[in-house]
Amino acid sequence: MDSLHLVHVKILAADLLSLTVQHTSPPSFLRCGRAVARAEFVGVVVSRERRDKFLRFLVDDGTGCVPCVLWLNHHYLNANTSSGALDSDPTAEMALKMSEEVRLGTLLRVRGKIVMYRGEIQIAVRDVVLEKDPNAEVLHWLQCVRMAKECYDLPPNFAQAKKRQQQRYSTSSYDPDEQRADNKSIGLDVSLEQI
Amino acid sequence: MPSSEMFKQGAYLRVSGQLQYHDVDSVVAVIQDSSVSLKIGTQHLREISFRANSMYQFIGELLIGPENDAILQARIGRNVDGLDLNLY
Repeated sequence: MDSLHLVHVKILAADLLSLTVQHTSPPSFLRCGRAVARAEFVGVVVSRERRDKFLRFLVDDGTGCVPCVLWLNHHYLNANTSSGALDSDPTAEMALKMSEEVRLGTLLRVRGKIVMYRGEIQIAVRDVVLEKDPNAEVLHWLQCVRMAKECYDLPPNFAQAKKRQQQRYSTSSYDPDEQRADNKSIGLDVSLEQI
Repeated sequence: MPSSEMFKQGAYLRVSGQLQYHDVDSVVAVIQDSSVSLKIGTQHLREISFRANSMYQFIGELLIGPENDAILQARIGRNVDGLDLNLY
């Protein structure tokens, strides 16, 4: 199984908002054919709307604006376990604290689940970090490009084989059959006779 | 008239530059980057203190006057002292 859907992929707003939506129930999202479920991005808060049960805000990272929602009605969520609330979701206290970090003009790192709302992609926020260093945004851009090249945009079996290779080299263990299988999936299935 | 395709009425832009001055009465600031300067309308900004020669970033809509004079009506402004402009 592709593990990419378990991590918060580092992503730019333009890429996030153009993910392929699969109309399953609940909707699922693909990036270059690989399922992604969670995202991390960095940008400036350009709009903010606070209601009783949620805080809605927009984060502009220079490539687009990501709509975000931070749920504050945890008493309701926790009372209804069928609503899908998880232990990893923020508590009411954490959510309130995070909502105070969301102010117009602040640079934030946001992580959360990718969801659909009224036909548009948005982020159900899991955590928010205030970034005081303005270079954090630029660093995120570079990390997005690097992760896309080295991991996200690779086909799943390629990425996993490459990861196994790196682990193997770091532990100094070598199994020729395993190496051959990985080489084949990476596209390096060339025998010595062919060289 | 600037030749940039971003020089359009109502364009939603993010600009960065060094603050030259901020006029509290007219609520207009001027930022500069190299030899180019731009006026920034600051009446919608809250919780921001202006320091001359500091770096600022503004996000807002570009308003172009009849004589092609432009002002960015800022929705957001923040101090970005320490930003590595070459990297940016």
